[in-house]
Amino acid sequence: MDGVVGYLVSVVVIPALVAAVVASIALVTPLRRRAWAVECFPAMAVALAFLVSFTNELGWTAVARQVVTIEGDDAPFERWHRLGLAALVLVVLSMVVAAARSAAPKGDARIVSIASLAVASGLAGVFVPFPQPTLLKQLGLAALVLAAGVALPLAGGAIYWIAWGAFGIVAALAGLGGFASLAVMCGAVSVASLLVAILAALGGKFAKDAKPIEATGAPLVVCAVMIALAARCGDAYDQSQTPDWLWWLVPLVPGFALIFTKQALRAPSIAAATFWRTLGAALAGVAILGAALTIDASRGTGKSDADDPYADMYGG
Amino acid sequence: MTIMRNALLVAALVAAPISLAPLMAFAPHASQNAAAPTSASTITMDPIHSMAIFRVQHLGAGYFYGRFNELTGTATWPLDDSAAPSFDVTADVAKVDTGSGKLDGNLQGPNFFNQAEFPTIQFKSKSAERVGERHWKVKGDLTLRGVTKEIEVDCTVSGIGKGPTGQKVGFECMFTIMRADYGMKWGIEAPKGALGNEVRMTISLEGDVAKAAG
Repeated sequence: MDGVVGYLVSVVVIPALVAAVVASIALVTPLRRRAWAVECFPAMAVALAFLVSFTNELGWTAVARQVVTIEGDDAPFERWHRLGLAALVLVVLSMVVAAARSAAPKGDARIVSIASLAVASGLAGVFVPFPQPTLLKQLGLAALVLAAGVALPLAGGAIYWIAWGAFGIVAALAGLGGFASLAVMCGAVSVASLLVAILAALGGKFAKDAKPIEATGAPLVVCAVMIALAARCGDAYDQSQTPDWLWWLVPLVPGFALIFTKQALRAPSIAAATFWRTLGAALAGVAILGAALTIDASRGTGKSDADDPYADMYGG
Repeated sequence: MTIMRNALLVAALVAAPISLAPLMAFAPHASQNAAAPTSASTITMDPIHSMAIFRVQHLGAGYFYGRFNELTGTATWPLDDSAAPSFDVTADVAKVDTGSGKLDGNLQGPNFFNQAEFPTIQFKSKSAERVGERHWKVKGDLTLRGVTKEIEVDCTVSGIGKGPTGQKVGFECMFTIMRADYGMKWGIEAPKGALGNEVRMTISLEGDVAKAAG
């Protein structure tokens, strides 16, 4: 197999397919009638897509190195590798949150969601420092997770469709910024989210008493944390001209579902409402990408004869 | 006749020390050179004229060359080559130059040099072994992406010259590393064969002599 094709199969296609299989356990089986399963498996699948992509590229040692010293391992400790550990934690957390919400007395499930998001935000702020971390940056990261957590519920049932777009934007920006690994990992999550969204739509159409997809609980925590961490990571290592504020806008993309709320609320079907919500977020995503490409093109690479310190070395 | 012979003998005895003096003065100096080297000069790198060229195979086909501009640091070396040179040289990852801004960005990113976390590459020599005249095998530690490994560098004094600011010394050093040893694995196995593992480095250093030998 061609090197690049093999690589993309390993780090994008396989992780997305693994995610689809995991999500399908709840989405296209009788478990579709169980709210906890519909909450847990698709959310876990999204986190799993990142984890499988990460380990397929860097191996499990890159995750293990974050928490233990491995004998004979002299590879450098790189801060962005903490994303792999974060994905592993989110796989576990998706199960814990779904179980806690399922076990909570009626009415308290919402409190569990908010508390889980707050805890996840705090953990991200404390345990995921990117290069040159400062207290302000870590507080900013925690705030970004919370902001994404506030924006995502506006996506409603379109959460996985919108996650498809949001992770796609991070992948594109990371590619633009010279960070191929983050680009393919977010690409894997984006494709996984798309497959989950399709499976959710198909399962909802054909299963009796199917529980709907909701932007709360486990999906909320997983998507909010992952989008915020991926965007912040991309920003921290960015080698392009993309300004910080554009990166920080990406986790808020789901909130732009609000643009077509009226149409979504009046929509005759769930599919139509999902379309309107996704459209709002998609427009925001396209605007972000367009802005990034325009800024990058207008600022150029900073390389010109005028900037060349050697331009006059021969007296020219 | 006897008087004449005696006069010549006296003249020879008087002249001998005078004519041998330069030779006698030279002899102990030469042996001193062999036993105790003259003090080494400190050479401060001139960043404009110090650079590193790297070579790596692309897609299993052609060789791709790039360079690090503006190397900084110091070397010490007695200009009469009576002792080994030592080096402490730093390359700034921000100064990588492939001729393409996009490619520079890729190389500075986390998949390669990871400038955000490891902004410099450093070589510090530890020992050296003479190979020939002004030619040394220098052993030292190369720190790249936070990983320090001992390497052997083939180092030649390329010349001693004089510029407007004073005496200058040039070195040309070469070594080869496997980039995977430093955690720079992208493109070796994944994507397979995109970029080679072996990186050949040629480093050209030019520095200003701060202290004359002697």
